[in-house]
Amino acid sequence: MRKLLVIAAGVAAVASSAAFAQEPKLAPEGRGLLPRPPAATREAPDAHRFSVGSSGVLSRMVFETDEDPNFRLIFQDFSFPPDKQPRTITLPSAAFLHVLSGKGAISVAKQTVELTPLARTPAIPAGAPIEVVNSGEYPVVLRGLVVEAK
Amino acid sequence: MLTIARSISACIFCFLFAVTAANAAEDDWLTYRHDSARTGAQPVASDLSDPARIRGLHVVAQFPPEGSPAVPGGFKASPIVVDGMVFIGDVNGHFYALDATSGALIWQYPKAGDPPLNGPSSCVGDDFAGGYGTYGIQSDATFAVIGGQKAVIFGAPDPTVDLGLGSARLFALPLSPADPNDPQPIWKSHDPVARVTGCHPGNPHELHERIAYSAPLVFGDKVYVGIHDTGDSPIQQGRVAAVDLNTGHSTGFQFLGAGNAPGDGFRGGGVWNALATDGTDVYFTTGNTQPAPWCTFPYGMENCPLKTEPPNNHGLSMIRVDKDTGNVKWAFQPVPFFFDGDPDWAAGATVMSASCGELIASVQKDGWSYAIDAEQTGPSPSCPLSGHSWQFPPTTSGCPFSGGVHGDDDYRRPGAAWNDVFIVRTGGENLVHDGVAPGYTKLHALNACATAENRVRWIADLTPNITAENGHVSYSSPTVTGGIVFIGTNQNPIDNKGHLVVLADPTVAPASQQVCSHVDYSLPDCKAPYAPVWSLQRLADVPMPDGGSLASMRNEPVLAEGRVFVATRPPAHLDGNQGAAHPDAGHVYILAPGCSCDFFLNASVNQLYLDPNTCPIRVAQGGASQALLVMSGPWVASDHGVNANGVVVDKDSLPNGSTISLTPGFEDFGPGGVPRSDGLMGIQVSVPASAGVGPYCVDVEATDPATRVSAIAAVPLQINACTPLTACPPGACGTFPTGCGGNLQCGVCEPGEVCTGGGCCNPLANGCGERCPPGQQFCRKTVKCVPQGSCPSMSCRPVNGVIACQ
Repeated sequence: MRKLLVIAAGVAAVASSAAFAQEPKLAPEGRGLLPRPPAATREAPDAHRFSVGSSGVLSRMVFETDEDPNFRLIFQDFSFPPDKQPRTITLPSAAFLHVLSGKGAISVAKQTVELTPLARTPAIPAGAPIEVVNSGEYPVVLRGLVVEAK
Repeated sequence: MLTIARSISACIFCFLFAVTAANAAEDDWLTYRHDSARTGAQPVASDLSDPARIRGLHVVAQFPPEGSPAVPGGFKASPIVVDGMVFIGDVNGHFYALDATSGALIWQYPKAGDPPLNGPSSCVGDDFAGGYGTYGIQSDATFAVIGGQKAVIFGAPDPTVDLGLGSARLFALPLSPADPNDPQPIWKSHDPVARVTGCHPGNPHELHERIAYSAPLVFGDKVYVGIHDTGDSPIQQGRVAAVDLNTGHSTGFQFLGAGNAPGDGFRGGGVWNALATDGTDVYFTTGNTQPAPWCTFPYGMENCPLKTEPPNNHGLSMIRVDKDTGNVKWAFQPVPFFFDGDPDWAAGATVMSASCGELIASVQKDGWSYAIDAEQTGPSPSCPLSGHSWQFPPTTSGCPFSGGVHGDDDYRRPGAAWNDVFIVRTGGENLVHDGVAPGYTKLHALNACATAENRVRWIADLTPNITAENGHVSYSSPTVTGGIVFIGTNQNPIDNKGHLVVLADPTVAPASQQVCSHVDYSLPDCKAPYAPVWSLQRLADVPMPDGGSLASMRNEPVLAEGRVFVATRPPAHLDGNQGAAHPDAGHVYILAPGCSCDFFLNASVNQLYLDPNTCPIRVAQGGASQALLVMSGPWVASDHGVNANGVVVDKDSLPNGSTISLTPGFEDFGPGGVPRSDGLMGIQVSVPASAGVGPYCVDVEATDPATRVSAIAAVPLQINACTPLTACPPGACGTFPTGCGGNLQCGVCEPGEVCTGGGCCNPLANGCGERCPPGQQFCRKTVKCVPQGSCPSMSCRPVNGVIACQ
């Protein structure tokens, strides 16, 4: 009831002010959804977008550090679609992987680890096949820390 | 019933607006984020909501004036604008009233020469964010009416209490003091609202309270302000102070972020932001309760120091409290105590009057955004959210969170509520538990009433060449009017200047690019639940003349009285500036929209520009002139991308009787009779003799027929005074224009001559073709000007050694 009284007072205030002053012209309002961009619309560039790598898996470079004289650290993300199909990647250098998002399983050297939030793999040797199965509804995204000797 | 509820929700905002508008102009900016709902939205139309006029946004005035030194330390607060005046405080504790047109100083408090409102430099303590009580004025003032007197209220350290260590009060000053040379407060809050009792970093026996980031909320008969700490050194017991609007005395209102009673030793839940209201209750968000050190990566029990959660832990929460008592009505805490790694809720609550109901929206410092249905019944909202409440991103491992510590990723600025659209710098679909992901530079517009798959409306990459890896980027809070979005940036690594960037929702200015709603995926890989959405480009981008940053914690572009008001400061580590430049920045800038010879378009479409030799268009009263559009590819006149069937020129702003047309000779007609050109197109403007002298803008829009991308410009037109000819010039004949819309009768030509183009000529002696009007040629066979190509061919033969043709 108290709220209704406040509202009534508000409506009255608006009505009374409208009687003495010209209503301001209001700017366009933000309502409703936008139509999707037509297919012909160009894609905005982005340096960090996933693209299909040599293994056929979506990957992207996040960043790399090149300051140490002996090795280079590369942060690389891999994305696996929610299709329940096994997909294999290999990395040129020793690496660790941890889960950014998604559900599934990862197999390295016949050892299978369930993909849970923030799960990590032990060190993966260079060139070892890494098989990932996405069993969820959204992409599985793994972040790899690749240690590359110079 | 739902319809009624929506109407009621809308009327609440009518009420809020009416209360303020009764005492100030409708297009003023009365407090931080414009209004008590903290929408950040200016609802009144002006040239700021005209996308064509924004292209010409430029600085028209500044404080201090050109030639004077900048304000030392600059501004971290933003202005408010009331009754043609600007009010803002600086980081050294001076509060200024400026003229909103010229930027001239009207008064300052304390008056020149008096001690500023600040703590001592000897008691900085932890230098984070400025120091315990040595932060000056870092948040906005708020307009109020006290006993019938118009006033501004702001918070600042008061050097006269608690040994001058920086305990803070609220100050209420009249808008127009009786003596501008020595303004006197209407009141100072009777007690300090935030106290500093010592200067030793981390000392738990001292109070290190601040109100630096909380602009006052004036609601009913109270003034509310949030109490927080200084760099968690150490965490203080979060509170909300509420004083009586008319006296400044404390009230019975009490909210604690943690613990059972004030000063009981429990800490956390600081209120780092301005409180909001929907006309019924009060809303705000809170900071962390878990003190450092937090968990370290890789996360696990072994890397997480065990701590005890305080009782009544209201930290890291979005909260609704009773406006009179402070009793909690509901509290939403998505990140539980165990995962608390300092993801303070630094951005405040925004009350959205959306078509699906009243939503309380905000982004947490870890990058997750939430909107909570204000009308909660029963227990407090919890994860997973349902009904009209939502989280963003919706599709990855969001709340309830199952692992990983959430930390400070600098998502600290509140979003803007443009009706059903929440515009906010948020983590994006690629956000995971913690850490700044690529996508950090991107501003999102979220459809507040849509389903999760339609949540993302558009994405704007404000600094596409800068990533979090090679240059930390920070922004102000966005503001919006009519779909035109304004946001400030810190000093970017490219030109070392802060920028004011302007974007437009695709409903008010066309967008030309798209991106996947999950920005990590290219369009071919953009599969459900993600979808292509519009990607915005900049409508305007104005570097700050002094190079200062516009990204302070409570910085926002203020949209009032048809102009933009921003305030700069030197960079600081909270902006993330490395190699910072312009340490002497510190100005209030006033910017106005205007005309520009630049079109709004980008490199992805055919190029189109106005010939600089003909732009601005200069025309005398009663005359005509034209601008040339130069095109690298086909363009057609546009009607906003729906059906290309005519030039869109806005004559509303031109004097009555003006005409605008495509210049004959440049016009070509494509399919469907659409005016088009692959090279040049002239836009001719004719103004009557009665036209007023002065600058005008001519809005023009054209469309790339291949991409359907439109280009818009507000072409400057200068109408000059005209002095008509009163006598015929030598050689003039027939009807000769006066140059101001009239004509003179100037006699006849000699036998054998013709009168063409206003003068006599002998067609057999020197030819007259060059004097024919554009699009015509002189025809020697008929001895008159005829349309190009319509002159009959002639036969020629030698006559007395020369070729004669008939």
